[in-house]
Amino acid sequence: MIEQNFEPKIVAFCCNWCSYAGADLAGTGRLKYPENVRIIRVPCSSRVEVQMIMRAFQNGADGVMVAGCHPGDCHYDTGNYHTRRRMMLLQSLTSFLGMEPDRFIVKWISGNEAAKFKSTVEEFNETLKKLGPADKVRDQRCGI
Amino acid sequence: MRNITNELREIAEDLLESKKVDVVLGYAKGEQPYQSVPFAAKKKEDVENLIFDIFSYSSLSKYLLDDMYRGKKVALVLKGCDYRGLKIMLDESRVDRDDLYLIGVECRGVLEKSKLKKKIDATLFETTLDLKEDKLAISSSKENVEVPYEDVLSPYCLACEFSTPHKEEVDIILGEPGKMTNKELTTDECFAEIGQIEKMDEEQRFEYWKKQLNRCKRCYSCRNACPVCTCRVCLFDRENPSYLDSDTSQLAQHQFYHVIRAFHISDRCVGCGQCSRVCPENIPLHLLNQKLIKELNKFYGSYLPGVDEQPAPLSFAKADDPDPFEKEEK
Ligand code: SF4
Ligand code: SF4
Ligand code: SF4
Repeated sequence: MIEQNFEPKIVAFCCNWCSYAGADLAGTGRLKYPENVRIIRVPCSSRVEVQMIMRAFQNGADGVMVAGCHPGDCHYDTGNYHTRRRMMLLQSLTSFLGMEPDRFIVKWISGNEAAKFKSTVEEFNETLKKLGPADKVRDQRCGI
Repeated sequence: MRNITNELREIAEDLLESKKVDVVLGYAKGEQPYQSVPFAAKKKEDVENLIFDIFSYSSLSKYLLDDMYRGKKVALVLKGCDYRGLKIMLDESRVDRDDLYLIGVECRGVLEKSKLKKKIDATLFETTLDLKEDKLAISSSKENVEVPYEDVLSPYCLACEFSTPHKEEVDIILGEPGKMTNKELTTDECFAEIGQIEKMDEEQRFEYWKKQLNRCKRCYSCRNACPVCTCRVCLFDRENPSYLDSDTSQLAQHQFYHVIRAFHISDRCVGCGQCSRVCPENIPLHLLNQKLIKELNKFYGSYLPGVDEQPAPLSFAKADDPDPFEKEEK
């Protein structure tokens, strides 16, 4: 059952050096992107621990995005390679548990890709609208 | 197996008498039928309680982290998988090899009591086991059955590639090499349920795990029994932030616990099977670990934690790793 006018809540972990800059550029360039995305700035995409992602879902997120620099462009050289390994593993585990893996995406967005930031969030938003609220992974006591 | 017990007692007596060690950690008979429990022999009189058999499940290496054993000389009984767990602790400098006397055993696998129970009508209290060459004979006043070992051994033992600790790494090895079953099964065959779950659609998978995980009492036995789950302060015990509370009514909390537990030991699991074995609710935790091992092996090449010398797959990453996330742009 999908509610009318359902506005998904998106948590986007953006790395300081690329994706956050990309989002920032989208803002200063006045590109309009869905305002239901909550950006959390992290020093590097590899800072995002699995428990942070799970926690976001438990407490209200309908979708979580982890965004980092393109492979090869990491400010710390190899951070996003680690992200890639871990997130791939997380995705196969959540998929094995039937926990709607489409609610979780990983994207490489550089500091000058404001348009990519915008289109990624828009697309994700559409996917989540179709999926509806993330009841399967939500802690029902969280008040959302 | 009896000879291992006798050999073990002799060694233990010797070690304690000569004061080479302060304590010998091994197994003793438990109160339940076919139950072997961890046992610390500290003096000569304790030694006759020591046993080693096909129910000597638990890994003893984690006791070394207990304050009680700090600075003590400890002798430890180790199966192959137990050795792997200890090796990880040694590599991480959690324990000092010089304080240890390692008694390796030639392990032929352990029997799963849950599988045993399914084979017979009587309770385990009423049955006797006879370990024959290639079959297990189970008899009770009601019936006598013979079952092939592959039906009652732990799936982990059927898939085990490292049943004896490295000879050069331990102080002594007890027993003789050999196997309970000659049937060669692939890992996929040993863990056939994984294939079945993978074939389900997403909704079915969700329902399957919902039924399993909702039974979890969050007793943390699975974490505590695991030889490679050794963080000084566990994430689940942290108070700030406190990730979990004691309420077990929320599937989301169970998902959190199980995803994180499996993930944190994904490239460390030594395949002892103890997590599932200790679960009071029979939640098939091993399927989660084994699924992750399967994925890691598929993408980054095979790796046996606690055996292979190369770094664990999640401890490094490379530029040319597979990238499943941005297919469309390539
Ligand atoms: S996995 Fe089983 S067969 Fe292998 S060492 Fe451990 S108990 Fe023995
Ligand atoms: S996760 Fe389970 S099978 Fe793996 S090492 Fe820990 S207790 Fe053993
Ligand atoms: S042993 Fe079983 S019931 Fe206890 S926490 Fe682990 S899965 Fe839950």
